[in-house]
Amino acid sequence: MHQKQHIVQRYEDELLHLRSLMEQMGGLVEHQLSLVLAAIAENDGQAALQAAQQDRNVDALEHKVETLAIRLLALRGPMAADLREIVACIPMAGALERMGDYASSIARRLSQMEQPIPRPARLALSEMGRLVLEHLRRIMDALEHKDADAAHAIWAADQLVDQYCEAMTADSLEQMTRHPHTIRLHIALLFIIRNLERIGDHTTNIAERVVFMVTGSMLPPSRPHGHDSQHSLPRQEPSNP
Amino acid sequence: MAASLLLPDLIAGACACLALTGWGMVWHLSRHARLSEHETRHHKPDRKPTPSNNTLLANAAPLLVEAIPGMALILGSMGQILACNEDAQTHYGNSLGALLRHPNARDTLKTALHAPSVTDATLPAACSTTVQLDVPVKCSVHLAMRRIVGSSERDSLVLVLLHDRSIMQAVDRMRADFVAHASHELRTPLASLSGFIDLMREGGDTTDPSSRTLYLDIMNQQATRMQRLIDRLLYLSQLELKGHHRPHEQLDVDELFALVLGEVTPRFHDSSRTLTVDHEENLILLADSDEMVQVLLNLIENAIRYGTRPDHPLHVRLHARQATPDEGPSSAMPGILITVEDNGPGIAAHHIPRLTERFYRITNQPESHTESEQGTGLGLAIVRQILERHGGQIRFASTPGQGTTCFIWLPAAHTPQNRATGAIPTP
Repeated sequence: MHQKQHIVQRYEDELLHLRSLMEQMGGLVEHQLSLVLAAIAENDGQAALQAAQQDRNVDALEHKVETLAIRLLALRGPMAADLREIVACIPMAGALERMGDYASSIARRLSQMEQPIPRPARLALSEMGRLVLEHLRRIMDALEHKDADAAHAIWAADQLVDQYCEAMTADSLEQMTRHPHTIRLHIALLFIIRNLERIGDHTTNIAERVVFMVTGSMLPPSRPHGHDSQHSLPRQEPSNP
Repeated sequence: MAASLLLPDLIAGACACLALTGWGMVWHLSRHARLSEHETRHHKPDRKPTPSNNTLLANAAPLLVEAIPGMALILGSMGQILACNEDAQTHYGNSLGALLRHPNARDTLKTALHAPSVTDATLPAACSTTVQLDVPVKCSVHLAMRRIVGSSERDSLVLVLLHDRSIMQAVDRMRADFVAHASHELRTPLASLSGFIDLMREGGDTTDPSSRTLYLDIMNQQATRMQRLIDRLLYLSQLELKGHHRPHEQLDVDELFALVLGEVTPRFHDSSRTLTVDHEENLILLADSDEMVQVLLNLIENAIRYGTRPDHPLHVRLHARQATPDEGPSSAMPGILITVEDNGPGIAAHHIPRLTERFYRITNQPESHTESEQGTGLGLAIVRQILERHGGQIRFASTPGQGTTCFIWLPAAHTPQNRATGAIPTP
């Protein structure tokens, strides 16, 4: 009987450990993105370097999560909510790892820039980055609290990031046509914008997993995208008297 | 005895007395736990695999942290929150997760867990770190951690004291931001101002009076623009400093609209501009009235500034109603939707996501504005800053050629009459 209790305790501990690893990974990627944003906003080369260095730790954590999840699946035969949670951790860790990659790719690009990013673009990138970081933070909170409603809200809110990305891309293209000597700069900016947008996309991937983990049902495969809804921004028209 | 041991390595200064009480209690409890474990060991050889030490402490934990005057919580060895006092909950409720998963906090937790304690009398070393969060509101928190001695490292608990450093950080950042923005934004009007000064100097008395008046007018405009820019930058900085405190005052929309009307009526003096105001009854916001007036003034100001077209009368409509659940950030929160609607030329779709960005100005307006009419690029940034502090949201919808609508969502106060009218839609 004590043996059985012991096994239950071990299982609970391992599940706790898995959650702890996921949180740790989320915290690390959040920190990485924060550093990238500081590097953009303040032209802080040191922060960019630090952000790029975090990549290894993120990769190591992903490996740990995967190993532990597989171990739990193989040895403990988890069921229902536990099973969903453990299974969901694997792709969620994958998504976080990709986000980390994008963040360090931005960091590397920043440190290779030949000229500093002009001020208007810096302000715009910070703004978009803040939006992405906020979504990442909210999704990590939703994962911690197993809050499907919050996850669903973030899943839908990513279209703001898409819209931002489109607006900035359009702006960069316009600048390039007008001032051809800035093409090099704007290509770098376009990559950064794109990477931020991809980080946002992975946030929605995590959101889908959180909803699945909590409710057991999947979100529809297609998500509202920025360009579909530019003219229907208000979700509901105000009632006119 | 515990006090003399603890004092040197604990948080310096003002916290000392606070921490003394807290740590003293922890020490006592953990000691008590260890003693009782010793006693039970003889009588009950078949005890649970979980050490009773840990269980006892874990059970006492909520009581313990609640007794600590200040923000405190107890973590398990995996970083999970076992207990959290009300102070910490009210101050950081939603941010605790983000604070504790930050790599700095994780590293410190690990160090705290591994800190050795040689004998019963010595406590493991205290470890501390500072964590900064950027979203949604920037904050900075100092964390001090110490392991509560358990039977093994794995079962150990860690007591965490939180200390807010946000204000200090915010003041520093405000200064830096202000200098950066002011030095950049003042450059253009300043250059124009000194250009005209040079012009008038060179001309001396030969400048004809009409040009002189023109120059002085332009100079005056530039000076006004600089003044407005500085005012707005300062206002924005002040808002940032207050960002952590959410207003709890109740504000009736009726009262708010009356204040706004008092301010803007002079701007709608002739038939080329009209303003209509309507709202549902009993709408109570949780908001600061000065700041809300500022929000609506900025939006109406924008409607006039960018909406006025020659030979096309401008209509601005200010409206408020109960928000439907899907309009707010969370369906559980009751909210109020205020809209400012105009029939101006509208805004191209690609500008909309970026409108609230600092210093973002829409270029290539169909009707070019003179320098003096140009905005500071801060009006909507101020609006957003205020709304963020209130836990509100803003979004825009626009059809080029037909007009622009700003939707403001704000949390509603839970008042009885507010609930009574509930979600009954008024036509």
